[in-house]
Amino acid sequence: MRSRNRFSSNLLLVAACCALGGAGIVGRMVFLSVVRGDQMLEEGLREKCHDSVHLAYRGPIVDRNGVVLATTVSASMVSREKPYVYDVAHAALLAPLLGQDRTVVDERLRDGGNSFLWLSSGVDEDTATAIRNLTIPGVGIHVSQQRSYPQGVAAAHVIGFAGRDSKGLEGVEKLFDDQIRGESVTVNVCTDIHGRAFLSNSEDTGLNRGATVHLTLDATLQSIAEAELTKQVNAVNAAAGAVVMMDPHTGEILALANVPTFDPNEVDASPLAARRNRVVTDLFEPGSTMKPFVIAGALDAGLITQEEKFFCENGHFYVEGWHKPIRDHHPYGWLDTTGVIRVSSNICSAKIGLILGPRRLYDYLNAFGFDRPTNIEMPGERRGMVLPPEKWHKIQNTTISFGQGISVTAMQLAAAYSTLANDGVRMQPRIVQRVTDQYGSTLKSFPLQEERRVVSSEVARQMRQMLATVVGKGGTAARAQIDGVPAAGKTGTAQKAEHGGYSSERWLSSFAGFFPVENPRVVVVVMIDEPKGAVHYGGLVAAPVFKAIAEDSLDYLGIERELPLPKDDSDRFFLPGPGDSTEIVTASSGAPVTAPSGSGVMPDLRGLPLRLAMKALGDSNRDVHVEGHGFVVGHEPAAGHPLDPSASVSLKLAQNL
Amino acid sequence: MSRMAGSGVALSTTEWPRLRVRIAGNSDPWLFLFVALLATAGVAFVYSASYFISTSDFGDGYRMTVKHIVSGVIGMVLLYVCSRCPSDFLERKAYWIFGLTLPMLLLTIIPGVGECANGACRWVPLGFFNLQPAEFVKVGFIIATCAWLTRVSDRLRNPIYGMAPVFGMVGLLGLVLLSQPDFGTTALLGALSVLLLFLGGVPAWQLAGPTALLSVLAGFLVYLEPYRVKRLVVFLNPDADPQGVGWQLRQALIAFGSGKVFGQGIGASTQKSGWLPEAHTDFIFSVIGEEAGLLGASAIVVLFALLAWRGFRIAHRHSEPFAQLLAAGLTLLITLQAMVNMGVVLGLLPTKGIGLPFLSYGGSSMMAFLAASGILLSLSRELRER
Repeated sequence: MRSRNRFSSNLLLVAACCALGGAGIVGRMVFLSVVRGDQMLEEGLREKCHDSVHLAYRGPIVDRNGVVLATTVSASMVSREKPYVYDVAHAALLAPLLGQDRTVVDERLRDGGNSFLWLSSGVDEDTATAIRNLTIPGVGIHVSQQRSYPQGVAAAHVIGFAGRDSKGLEGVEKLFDDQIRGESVTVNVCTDIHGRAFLSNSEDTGLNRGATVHLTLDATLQSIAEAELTKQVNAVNAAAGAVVMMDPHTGEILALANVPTFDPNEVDASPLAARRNRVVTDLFEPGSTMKPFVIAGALDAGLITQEEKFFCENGHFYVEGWHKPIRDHHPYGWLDTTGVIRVSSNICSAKIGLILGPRRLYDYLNAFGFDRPTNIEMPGERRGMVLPPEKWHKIQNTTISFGQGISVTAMQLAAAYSTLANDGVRMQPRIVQRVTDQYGSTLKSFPLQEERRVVSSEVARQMRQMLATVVGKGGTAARAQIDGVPAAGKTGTAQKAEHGGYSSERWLSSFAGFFPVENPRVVVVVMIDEPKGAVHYGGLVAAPVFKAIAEDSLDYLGIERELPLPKDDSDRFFLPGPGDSTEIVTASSGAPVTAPSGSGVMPDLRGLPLRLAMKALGDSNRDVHVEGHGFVVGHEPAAGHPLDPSASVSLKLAQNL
Repeated sequence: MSRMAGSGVALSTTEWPRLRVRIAGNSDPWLFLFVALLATAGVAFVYSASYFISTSDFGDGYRMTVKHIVSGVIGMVLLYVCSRCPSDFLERKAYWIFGLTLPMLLLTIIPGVGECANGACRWVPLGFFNLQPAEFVKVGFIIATCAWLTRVSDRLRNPIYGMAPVFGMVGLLGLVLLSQPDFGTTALLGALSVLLLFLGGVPAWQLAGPTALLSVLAGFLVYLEPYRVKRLVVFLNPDADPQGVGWQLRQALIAFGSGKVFGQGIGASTQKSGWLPEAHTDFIFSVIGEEAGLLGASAIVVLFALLAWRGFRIAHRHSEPFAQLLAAGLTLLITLQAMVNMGVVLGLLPTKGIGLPFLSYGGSSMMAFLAASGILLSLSRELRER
């Protein structure tokens, strides 16, 4: 039997030991909380918290009418994370929503337990909601920013693209990155073990938006340019192509297209070459498209006149000190200045170049913007090359006069033709109108800027007249004729340089022109690089693109198609020449109209109001059946088909073309 | 005045104000109050500390808290039942009670039956609930040991009756527990058995040798298991492996220290968001320190101290030797486990893996400790009703 006292004293001893232990614990607690407290707190924060850069909402890029070309959208990303538990049924539910193969989804879900992984990036809001509604624990939706280009490939080379970290990498995205990106905010974010911010610490900086960039581009013209260029590049199986459309009075780029192109939404899917903005980065030898500037220079300097005649040496012209002759495609004898342009004589251009002399030739070319950057707001612009005249051999005075031995960009060419179209005054080319902040107030504007007068208004007018003949009958670019609107322009066909000489197989066809001839609205430069096949002349390869683009955009631009009455010497427009006319009575109005009959070919009447269509058919007696109101959208027989003087014609009209 | 006045024992000199509340008959309302306060604080902190892990494991932040409350309610029923068990009944049925807890413990080591987590198979799945038998075994072992030591109290100087059977039983339990493995509970049982033998009347000089032997054995077991060695190394030098084994301890110290004197505020712990593993179970005291500060953590320590005081007071005052020993044993179970847990959390002891009584998440532990408290209440009623 143990004694009570013994037990009590033992108990006291044990209790005392406990008290001692408790005191030790309390001592340790005081040490940790009071002495080490701040240090522990700091150490913990260092581990849990980090500075997080909250990127601002990247601002949009819009065209001149506000059409959104680039924007930022909330992208929902789907993840698998804790406490996900694998189930074979999940893949069947998720795969159709994610647009992925079921076995692929299943594999990803099965592997790695419930460790964090992304199942998909950038699903839309509807899909995200559908996935949320599945309520699979551990399948989460995370929202982040994603750059989106709603127009796809449209103006891809102008817009460029931004990388994953919201940094502009190409085009306007790169050049205006500082403004578009906005001010990012650094927030100290504390997270849980999985890296998710605590709710109490997350700060919404969504109101912080980058600036909006307003381009001078017109999305409608841009899509026309892209469609027609793509069509032709495919048709002639060319390596590449480019189109620039410029408003000559303002210097604004209305459209800028490159083929091959890329979708900035899927940059990684495109080869590097497809992302090059050839309009500003690629140099080419312009060839005949340079002749107008030589002639304009000579006219402006008062050295020649429009009527002056030049002897074109019947196709062979030896320049002193050079063993090879300058050749023309066809031998020509005497041509006036207009004729030199119209038939694009190398020999006479060279002679005019010699009259102008090296110094003045260089100065004019330079004044037209060659051998200097246009300073357009595009990254990677090259300035091209025209050797300074002191270094010219005499032969270069002649070759440069027909565009050989120099290199230019399509942008330079567009600006130079715009100078002629704008009465000799060069406008600073620009592609950005202004930059506005999120509230719409202007941060930076790019006002119209007159760079300089290059040639007199009179010379510019003469040049437009002469260039119009190129597009007319007997010109090198008859295929650039636009239905209903007089146009002007110049072709160029350059052999590409290779191995120190010129290639006989690789060509660069170009056409530069504008319409209408008087008071031009748009300058268009077309480049087709390495067309395959027999046809490579600029007039046959590049000119049709100009025509197609122009015709597609006339109505949009509100350019009225004029319908000059047939003139004796003119078949520049679609009307056949006058001939025997027969009086007919139309079924609808009973009014007598005239129709051409001599040519016996049906003109293209599409797009014309009834009155003009009737006029175009001439005053022959013919049955004309009219159906509908408004403009002609189709007719029988079709354009170009034989038209018997007595045959009836039916016209179909509609309010909208 | 105390009956024991004049015995010269300090424990008896303090007379507590009498609470006019009847809990489980005439039992000690103070004891019940401290238990209830600790359990209530436990619910609050389990809610705070488990929300993150519960959300990430079950997709439901409240799930663990609800389970904890349910076990608390069941535990309270157990407490009431136990508070109605007279000490002589417990003494008579001591081996039966102990025996009842053992089969469950054996089930845990049968492959395919035992439920495992983090490499330890300590649970028996009951469908709605995973039972951790070791928690009940501890209480059963104390009851049986007290009964045995009371029965052989006159022969305790002979190791055949005292140390041998008790240490033998610890050894047997240890074999099962260590195969789970559960080193912490084994060590705790060893320590408790030494203390019970000492209180039961085995001379201290006799205990010294075997105790030293047990410690060496424990050291050997630590040596056998690489992870225990690592824990020890980390304990001795917390910076040894900051991303690995040292991680948990470092996070625990960061959590406790971050609370400073007044705490970050209830619910405002950041360490519980996955940074501190087992924040809601073994390391809940860190979260208490982080959220309630030194003051809040001290309040918990004070509650345990008061609870110990009431427990030892029962042991001191009870007339029956078995009841005396049992009161001391159960009080020591609570106190010792609390101290070891806090010692681990505060970096004073190597990491063990035992919870904080009444506060840590874990249904079995909650029920077992409330049952033990019920027995203490029953013993206290016998004091008052005499």
